[in-house]
Amino acid sequence: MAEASLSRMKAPSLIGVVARKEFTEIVRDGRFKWTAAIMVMLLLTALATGWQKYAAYSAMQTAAQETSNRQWLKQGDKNPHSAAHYGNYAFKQAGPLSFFDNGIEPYTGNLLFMEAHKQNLAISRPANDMSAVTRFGDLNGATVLQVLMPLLIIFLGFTAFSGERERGTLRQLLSMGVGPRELLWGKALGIGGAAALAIVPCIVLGALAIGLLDLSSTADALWGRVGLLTAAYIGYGLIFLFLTLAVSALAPNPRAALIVLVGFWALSVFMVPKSAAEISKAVYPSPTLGEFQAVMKADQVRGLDGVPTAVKFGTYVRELMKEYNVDSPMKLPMYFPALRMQKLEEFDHVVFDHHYNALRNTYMAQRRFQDGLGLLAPLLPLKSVSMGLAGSDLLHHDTYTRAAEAHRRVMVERMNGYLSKAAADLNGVSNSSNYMTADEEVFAIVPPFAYTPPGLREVVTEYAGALLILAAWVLASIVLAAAAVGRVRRAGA
Amino acid sequence: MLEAIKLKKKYGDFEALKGLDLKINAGDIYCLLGANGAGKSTTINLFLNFIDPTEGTAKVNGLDVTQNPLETKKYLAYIPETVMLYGNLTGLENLAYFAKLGGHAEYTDADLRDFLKQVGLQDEAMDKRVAAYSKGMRQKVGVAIALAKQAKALLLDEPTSGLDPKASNEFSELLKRLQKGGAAILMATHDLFRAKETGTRIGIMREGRLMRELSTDEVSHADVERIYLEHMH
Amino acid sequence: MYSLIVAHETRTLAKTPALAWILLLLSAAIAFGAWSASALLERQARGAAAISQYEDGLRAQMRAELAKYEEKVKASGGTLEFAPINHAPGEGPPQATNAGAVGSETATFAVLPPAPLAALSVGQSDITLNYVPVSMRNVIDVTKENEIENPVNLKTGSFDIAFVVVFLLPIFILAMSYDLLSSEKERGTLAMVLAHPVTLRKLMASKLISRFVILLAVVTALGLGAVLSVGSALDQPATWAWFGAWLGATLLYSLFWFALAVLVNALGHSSATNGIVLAGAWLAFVVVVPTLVSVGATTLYPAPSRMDFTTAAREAQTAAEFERMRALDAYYYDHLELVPDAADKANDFLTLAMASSAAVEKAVMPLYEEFQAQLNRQEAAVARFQYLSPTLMMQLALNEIAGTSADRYEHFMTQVFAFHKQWTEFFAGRFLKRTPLTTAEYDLFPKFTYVEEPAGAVMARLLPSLLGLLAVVGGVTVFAFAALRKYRVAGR
Repeated sequence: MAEASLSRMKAPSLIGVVARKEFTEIVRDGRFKWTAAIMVMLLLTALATGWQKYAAYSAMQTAAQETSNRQWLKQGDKNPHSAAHYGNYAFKQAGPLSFFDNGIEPYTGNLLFMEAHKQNLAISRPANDMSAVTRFGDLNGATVLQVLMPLLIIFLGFTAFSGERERGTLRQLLSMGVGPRELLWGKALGIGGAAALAIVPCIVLGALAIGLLDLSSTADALWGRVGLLTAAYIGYGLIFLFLTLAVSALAPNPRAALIVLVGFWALSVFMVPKSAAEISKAVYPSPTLGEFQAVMKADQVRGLDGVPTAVKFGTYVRELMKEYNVDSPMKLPMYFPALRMQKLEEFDHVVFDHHYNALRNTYMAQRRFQDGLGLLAPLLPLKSVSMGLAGSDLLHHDTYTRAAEAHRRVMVERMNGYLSKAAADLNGVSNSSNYMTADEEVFAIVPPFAYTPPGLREVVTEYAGALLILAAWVLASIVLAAAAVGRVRRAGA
Repeated sequence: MLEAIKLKKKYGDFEALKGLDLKINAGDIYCLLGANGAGKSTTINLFLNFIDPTEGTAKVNGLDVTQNPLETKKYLAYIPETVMLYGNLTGLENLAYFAKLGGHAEYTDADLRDFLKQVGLQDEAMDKRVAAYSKGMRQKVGVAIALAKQAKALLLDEPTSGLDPKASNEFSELLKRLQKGGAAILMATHDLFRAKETGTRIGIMREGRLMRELSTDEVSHADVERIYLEHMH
Repeated sequence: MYSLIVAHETRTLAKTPALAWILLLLSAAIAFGAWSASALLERQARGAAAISQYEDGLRAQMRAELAKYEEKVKASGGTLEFAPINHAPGEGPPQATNAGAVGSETATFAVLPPAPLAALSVGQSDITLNYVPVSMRNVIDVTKENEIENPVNLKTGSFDIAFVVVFLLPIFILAMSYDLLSSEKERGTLAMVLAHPVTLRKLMASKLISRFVILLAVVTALGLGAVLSVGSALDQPATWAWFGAWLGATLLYSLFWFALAVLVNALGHSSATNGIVLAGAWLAFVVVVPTLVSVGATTLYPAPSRMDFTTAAREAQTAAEFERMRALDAYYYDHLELVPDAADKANDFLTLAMASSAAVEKAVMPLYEEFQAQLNRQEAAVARFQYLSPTLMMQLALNEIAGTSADRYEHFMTQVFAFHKQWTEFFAGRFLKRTPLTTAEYDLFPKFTYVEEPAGAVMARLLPSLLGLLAVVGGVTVFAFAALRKYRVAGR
């Protein structure tokens, strides 16, 4: 009878029991209090400074772009082609979540001069205007989570099994019939819960900040980005959680566990990413400014297909004259100098596109190669995904530079086009009294510069590979931990 | 040789040693009996100057250990409960190192091997890594270190715990040999039988105090046990 | 006694497989660092060469045209004439005779050669432009250009020897010594040893010496190897003096971490706790403090917005244009080839262009200088805060030794500005007098040679960092050995 009643007793969920004990033990521990406090402080500082910088920059950028667009209209009466030389400036928008992860923004130009005849590179790279010490790293939420969160988890969890084994309590646990599954998930829950205790409040604050300042109006699927970002970082935390549990279960003593885990952290957070960057530069070499300019200038003259631009232009003029049945370009019904300048521009565009696209593709290839090396270090794909979702990555930068170039071409084409028709009577007459001037109304045929940053779908497509690698890591670490804990059972602690 | 004069040790509010008076001369094997926490290890640590006394003096060969920390160690040899050595080195290499540390650089390889032989370590074992030694073998090396040091006073902390009867017996023989060589031996132990067998005097400690002193030739084994238990509650 | 314990410790260490792995990893890291830094230097050189060659080629072409023209003139017995600014080829003297054309349409490059030990620390040299174009164009325009590199890689930073020394070396040192004392205690051998006439301080000092000597040997060998393979100017004694400075700084820095390990061990905690505390200390000194200092410096002296600077420069330019030119003039100013035939009129426009350029430069220079001043204030703030972390001191010291510091670049830019003046004056003078250039003069075009800073100036900047390191190391060592006095060998 007693047996039957025993079996009808409600057994507490062992996972819950293990988790609760683990959580309590850790939270009372001095090391938790210290590391968690430091982590919270750093996260809050990072989020605060990131937020302030973002707000300041966004305001500056909006104002500057408005001013520049207005300056275009109000540049004063002048020849349309001169207006194209006066040009306009394109100012880069900050990524919607760049206050959390400012990605490559310090290392890209945020100012681009759009003028006739030239496709410029973006200038005003913040990093160039800062001291060498800033290369140690920026303090933002992403860096704190990427570098410190794993260490926090390691500190909290490296004694999960190795400490119990040393104390002798592991043998007692096993003798009571606690299985490997309960041990694994219980400890994971307990340790993860303690780590979350340090991190979640900051995340909530960050989300509140976003909501309060109504960023959602300016960004596509902002909450989608936030959700995916959270998932990615949780995944990263899980990787280290399960790796810590696995190593703790396999290590002969806590010291060995700590050394292995901290060693892995140092390798995967510092050594592998830097090595990956250097190797990617060797595998996909990119040109220096000097080489880029030299080859570009040479190709502009000699043509990409080996036919010199001057020859191509000659052919064009002949065909044009044939079309209009005239024997001199000055007899064409369009203002020839304007036609000439536009056609030369178009020849240049081919060259520009070839070289700029090659440059962009090389950079992208280098980044994808590094993501691939993420099989060795989970930080690599996480960095990419984080930058992409925050809007501070290569994709966002390329969208900006492409938009600027597209606008530049529209501006030049419209101004040249207008000039070619409006000054048609000046063909062959170079006389200061018959000069053609345009005003604000004419300049207004060029729309003000504005661009739309990439949407969430585009970002996810670009980083699908990185996301997959991250997911694979999570899976692998869980499998490893399960196997390691299983071994504990069989080896009899 | 070993003298404790009103030795007291306090850890905060807790009194580990409440005024110990002890005198051990050359040729004495003094066995200190008592439960865990009675103050035996504390006494030994005080003689070794591992801790400072709150009050009183510990003297080795007439020298105050706190005033002459290095000098007094020259006369001492210490064999802890588990003799820990450098696992990656052989028994011989460990002995060589500790002998030199003790200030004796003059021993040749043959001399050292002789010491190890004296303590009963097998020839084959001398050149094996200590990590493979049994507890008894390690203890033998510990005694060899004491021999090599030509120590005048030996401090032993639970030396026979964990030894099988044969090894325990071998150890007693070694002790007697050291005693004949003129050493003063202080041995903290639980082993009542061994204390009566090997010791010349017995001291019973309880809660930091020396309750009773006996000469072993005055009492029988049964007596020792009875008196010990009497003082234990 | 010291030699005995040191010999014993060294023997024990030599038998530890972990140490072998650590040293192997360190060697691999330094070799990799040397390789990647040399790749960067090579890349810089290629960039400078490519564009220099292109521009030199243009001038060579012009010289060839001029030579032909000179022959023609000699043959016909006439005099050389000065060509107007228009690009119609064929008749008359070639553009190559016009100093204004040559001086403004071709550029020469002022190259900052890498210092002999540049491979030891990349510093900012991956983002600054080390070959600056000089022509008669507004010199401040030139300061806007940067070297191009994948921003993703710039964010990660370079894996150079400085990275190995500043970031990784401490980890290796801590791995070798985090359980210096605690492991002996946990093993039980500490009691055995201290029962002999050896003080704890002597024991620790000996352990420290044995590890330090191993590290010294490894670092010297690897450093030497790196310098021999990727250093330059190896025949100059100055180079070896700098190498000595590098070695000294590295050893001081290593000593800091060793002393820190002793200090933490002296507190008497378990090996695992020591590991955590030291890992935390590494994080604090190497990652957190430098980051906080950079945030502090950029908050105290924020770099002025280049957007504002650009807008202001643009406004100055527009104002200059409005003052000086009417619409027609503005048009011809942009396309000199369209100006009607009158040669003088064409030349007048170039004169105007030069004048306008000079005026804009004058207007914008104060803004530029304020910009630079603010950046200098930022650097000064960092230099003041460097004493908060040995890592900061070390990085700044390495940048000075490798010649990749901001100060050296500023020194270079000062020379570039001076050279720009020289270039402009050479061509402007001949242009304004309408004197035609001759091929002989082509060989006299001003050439830029960088004059290295006097070693004293660099040492003056280096010394505070080194002395700071020395002071910190001394302090921690004193503390550490004082703390050993309170170490509990046994007992509760």
